[in-house]
Amino acid sequence: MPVFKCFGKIVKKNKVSFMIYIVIFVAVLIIFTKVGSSNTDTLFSDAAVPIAIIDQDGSALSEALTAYIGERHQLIDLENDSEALQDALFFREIEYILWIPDGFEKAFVSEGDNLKLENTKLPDSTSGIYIDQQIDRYLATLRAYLNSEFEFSDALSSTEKDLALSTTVELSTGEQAEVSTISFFFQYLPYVLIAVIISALGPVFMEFNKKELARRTEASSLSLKSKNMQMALGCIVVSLILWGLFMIAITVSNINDIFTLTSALRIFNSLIFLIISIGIAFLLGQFLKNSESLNFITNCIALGMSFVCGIFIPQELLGSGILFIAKFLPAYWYIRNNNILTGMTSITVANIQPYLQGILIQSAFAVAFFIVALVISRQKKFHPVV
Amino acid sequence: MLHSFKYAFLCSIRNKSQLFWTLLFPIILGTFFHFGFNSIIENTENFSQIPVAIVTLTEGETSETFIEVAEQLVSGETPLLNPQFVDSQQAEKLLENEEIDGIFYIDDSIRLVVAEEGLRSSILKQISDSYLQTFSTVAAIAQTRPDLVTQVIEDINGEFQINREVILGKGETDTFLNYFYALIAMQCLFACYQGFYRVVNIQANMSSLAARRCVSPVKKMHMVLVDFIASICTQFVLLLIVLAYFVFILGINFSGQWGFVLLTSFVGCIVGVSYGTFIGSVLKSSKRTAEGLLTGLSLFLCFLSGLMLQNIKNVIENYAPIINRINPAALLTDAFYSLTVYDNYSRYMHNIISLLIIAAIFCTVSILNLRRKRYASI
Amino acid sequence: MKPTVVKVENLVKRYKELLAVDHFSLNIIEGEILGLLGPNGSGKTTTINCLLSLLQYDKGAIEIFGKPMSPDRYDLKQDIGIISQNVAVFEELTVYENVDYFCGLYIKDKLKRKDLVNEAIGFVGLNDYLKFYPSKLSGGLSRRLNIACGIAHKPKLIIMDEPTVAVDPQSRNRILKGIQTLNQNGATIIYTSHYMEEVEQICSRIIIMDKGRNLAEGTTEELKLMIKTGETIRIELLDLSKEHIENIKMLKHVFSVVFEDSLLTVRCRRGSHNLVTLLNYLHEHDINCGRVFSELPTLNDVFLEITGKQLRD
Repeated sequence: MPVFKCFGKIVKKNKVSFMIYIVIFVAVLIIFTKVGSSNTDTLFSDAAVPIAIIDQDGSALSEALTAYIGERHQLIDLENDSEALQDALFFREIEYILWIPDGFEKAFVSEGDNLKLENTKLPDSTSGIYIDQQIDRYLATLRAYLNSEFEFSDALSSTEKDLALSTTVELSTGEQAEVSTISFFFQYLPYVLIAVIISALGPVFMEFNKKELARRTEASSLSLKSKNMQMALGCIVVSLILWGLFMIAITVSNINDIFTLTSALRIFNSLIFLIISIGIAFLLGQFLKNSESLNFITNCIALGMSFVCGIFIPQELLGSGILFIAKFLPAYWYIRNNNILTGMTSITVANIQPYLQGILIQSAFAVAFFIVALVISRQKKFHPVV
Repeated sequence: MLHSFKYAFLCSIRNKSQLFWTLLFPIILGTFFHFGFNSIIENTENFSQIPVAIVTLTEGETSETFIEVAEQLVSGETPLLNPQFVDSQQAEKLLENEEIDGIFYIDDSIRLVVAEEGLRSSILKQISDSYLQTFSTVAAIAQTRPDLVTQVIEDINGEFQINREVILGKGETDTFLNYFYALIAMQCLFACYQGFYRVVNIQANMSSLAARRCVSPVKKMHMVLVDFIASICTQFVLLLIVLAYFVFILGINFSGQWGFVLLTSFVGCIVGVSYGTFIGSVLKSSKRTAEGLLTGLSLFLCFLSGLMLQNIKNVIENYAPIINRINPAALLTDAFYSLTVYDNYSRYMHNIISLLIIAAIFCTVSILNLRRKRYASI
Repeated sequence: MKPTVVKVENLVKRYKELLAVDHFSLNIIEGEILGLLGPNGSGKTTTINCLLSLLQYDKGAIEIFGKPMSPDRYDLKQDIGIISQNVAVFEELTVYENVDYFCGLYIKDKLKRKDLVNEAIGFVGLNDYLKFYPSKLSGGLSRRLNIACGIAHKPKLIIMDEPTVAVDPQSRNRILKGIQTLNQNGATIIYTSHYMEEVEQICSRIIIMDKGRNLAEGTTEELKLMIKTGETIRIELLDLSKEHIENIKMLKHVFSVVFEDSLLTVRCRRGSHNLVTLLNYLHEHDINCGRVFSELPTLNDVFLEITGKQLRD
C-alpha cells in the first residue's frame, strides 16, 4: 500500500509543526473549558462579588446599608484613593465601588438635599446592574417606611427583615441536565479540530496534488480507485487518532459524568464534524500551493467560523443577520446540536428530531466538500494547466 | 542605506501572505466583531414576555395579589411576563416541552421551578423576590397607615434615582471595545512573520539569498538593522490602514487620543517584529516548523489577552498574574484600555515600558545570534 | 608574471565525522578560468563557501588578492561576485529591482549603477523581462537573472557554483559564451561543475576533486597526458573468440581489451597507428565488423582512471 505508507511519511515529516498546534490548542481548549464554564455563574444574580464601600457618612444608615450589602457580597476594605481604587478595579480585586457621601443619612431622612450615592462598576460585570437594583430597593423600601412615619430605627430593621425574604428556586430535574464542563468542551472543540486536522492533513493533500507528483502517480499502474482508497484510509487513521486523543482527554477529566446518553450524542456530533474537517482539508489541498497559504487559510476559517457560528460568542447572543450567514457554515449546526443537548433534560424520540436534523445537515456539508474537491481534482486531471 | 531600505520595504510590503495576515485578516475579523456585537447589544436588552406558568396551590391573599401583580406585568408598554394559569401537572408538562421558562407555585409563599439557570430564570426570581418583599413592606405599613399603601407600592417599584454612576478616571469603556484592542494586539504580534522572513534572508545557513548578501561588502549588522526598520515601517503602515478602517468605516471610538494610540501601535509593531526576529535567529529547524510555531504561539498569546474569551485576563489575574505582565498581547490591550479608562498615564506608561523592555530583550538575543558570520555548516 | 588572485593552502573542513575538504590547495592567477571538476559530494561547494568565509574551517589559509580572507574584509568582498547553485534572488522584486539591489550593495553611485545594471541585464539577455517576477521566469531565465545579480558590479573575481544545472541548451550556450566574454574583459573565474564538456570547453585550467582532495591539476591536455589511455577504440562485432581477444591484447600500445554485448572496447596508450593496426588484424583474420568508433581520452577517462569512478553515476 504505497500511497498509504507515503501518507504516513508525509504526516510524520510535518509532525513537529502540527504537534506545536496540538499542544497549543489543547491548552487553549482546556482553558476555554475551565473559564467558559465558570462564566455562567455570573448570570445568576445571587453570585457574590467583591465590593468596596467608601463610607464618608458614618451614620446608622450608611452602616446598615453597608451591612446589607456585606451580607450578600464580599466587602473589600480600601482607602479612598482614586489611583488605588482604579487599580483595584482594573485588576478585578473589586467589581463595584460605592461612595456614601458625608451627610447622606441626614439628607435622606429629611428628603432635603438631592444628595446621591455614587458608584463605579466594571463595564463587563452583569452583577453590577443587580447591585444597583439591590441598593435602590433597600433605599426605596426604607423611604417607604419613613414616609409612613415609622421610627428611623424601626424603619431600618423592617427594611432589613423585608429584604431578607426571597423565593426558593429549584431546578426541574434533581440534578443538572449535565456537567457544564463537558458541554463547554464540546462547544469549543470544533475550533481546535479544524485547526489541527487541516494542519495535519492539508500538507499531505498538497504534496499529492503537486503537478509532477500527481502526474507520476496517474501514470503508474496504481488504479485511481486504489489510490483514493489508500488516501482515504490514511485520512481516517490520522484523524481518528487526533480526535481520539481529545475524546480520551475529556473522558479522563470527567470520568464520572461522561457515560451518559447525552455525552454519547455529543461525541457522535463531534465525529460528524471531524468528517467535515477532513473534507475541508481535502478541498483546500486541491488548490493550495504552499504551506504559508495553508497556514493562513486554516486560521482564517477556524477563527472566522468560531466567531460567527457561536463558538466564542453564544448563539443566543448573536444577531439575526450574523446567524443567517452562519447557517451556511457547518459549525453553526454543530453548535446548535450541542446546545440542544445541553437544554435536554431527557431524551425522547420527539425532542431528538432537531438534533438528528442537525446531524443530517452536517453530513450534507461533509459530502458537499468531498464532491467539490473530487470535481476540482477531476478538472485538473482532464484539463491540466501546463 | 536608503537603497537597502527602499528594497527591504518593497520586499516586505509585496509579500502576499504577510499582507493577508496583517491586513485582511484583522479587517475581516473586525467586521465580524462589529456586526456581531451590535446585534448582541440588541438581544440582551430585549427580555420581554417571558413565558411562565402560575400554579395556585392554596387560594389566599398571597395568590390573589400575586396574580394581580402578574397581570400588571403583562399589560403596559413592555410586557415582561406571559403567564398561563394552569394546574400542577399541566405546568410540569409545559416546562418539559420547553414552552415555558419557569413555574411559580403559590401557597403561603412562592416557589419557583426552572428548567435551567440563566438570565431568564434570574429575572423570574427577581420578580417574585420583589413581590415578596413589597408584600411584606406593604403589610407592615398597612397596619398603621393603610391609606399610604398605594403610594408605597408606587414608590418602591418606581424609578428611584439615588445612586449615580460616576466614571472613575475618564471615558466609558464599551464592553466590546476590548475585542478590538485584542485584534490590534494580534495584528502587532503577527508582524513576527516579517521579522522571521528577514532573518531567513540574512542567515547564510538558511538560504542562498542570504549567502549572497553576506558575501557583499555591506556589514551584516547594517543589513539586519535596515531590514528590521523596514519591517516595522511596513507593519505600521498596514496597521494604520486597519485603524483607519475601524475608525472611519466601522465607527469604533478609540478615545480620541491619537498620539498615544499611534504610539502604542508603533511599540506593538516593534515588539512583533523583534519577537519574529528572535524566533528566526534562535530556531534552527525547518521553515514549516517555524511558521507553525509563530502562528500557534501568537494565537495563544492573543487568546490569553482576550481575543476569543472576554474575561480570560481576569481569570489569569487571579491565578497567574505574571502572565499578564509578560504577555505582549496582554500588555498591548491593557495599554489601550488604560488610555480609554484612566485619566493619568502611569498605568499606560508602565505597559509601554514593559513592552519596550521585552522588545529590547528579543533584539539583544537576536543580535547576539545574528552576529555570527561564519557557520559550522551551510 | 601575473599576480595570484586566490591562494588556498591545506584547507581542511570537517562536518562531524565526515571529512569534506581534505588538505586542499589551489592557486589561481589573474585572468584564468579555473574549473573545479568533481562528482556530487566531492567538496566543491564546501571549498567555495570556505573561500568566501561563509563556513568555518578547521585548518588552512586562504588569501584573496594577496590578502588573508575573513568575513570582515569588505575591501576584498568589493571585488568578488558569486553565482550560487540555487537561484538567490528576492521573489518579491522584479528582474530589474533584483539586479539593482545587488549592484547597489557594491556600487554607491546612482548613475554609475544604473548603467551597470542595464549592461548586466543586456549581457544576460533579459531586456524583455525587466518587470517580471522571478516566479514567472523559466529555469533558464532565472539562472540568467542569477548571473546578472552576481556580475553587475563588474567584479574582478567571479565564483560560479554549478551555474548550468537544469538549464536548457540554448541558455547554457549563452551562459558559457558569456563567461568567456567576462574573462576576456578581465575577470578571473572559478567555475565548479560536474559537467566535463563545459569545463573542457571554457576552462583554461582544471582541478579534479574527489572526497575533498585535489586529485589532479592542469590544462585539459596536461590532464589527458596524465593517464594511460591515449585512445579508446570501440568496434561492433558479432562474435570474437578468446584466442583473438588474447592476440589483440598483444598488439602494440594496447593495455585493455573488453568484449561485451557485441562490442569490443580496446584501450591503447598514445600512438599514431592504433586504429589501423587493430583494423588490419581484424581484416587479416576475416572478422567482420560493424561500426567503428575512436575517441581521444575525455576528462571522464581521467577521472575514471584516477578514482575508479565515473564523474556522473
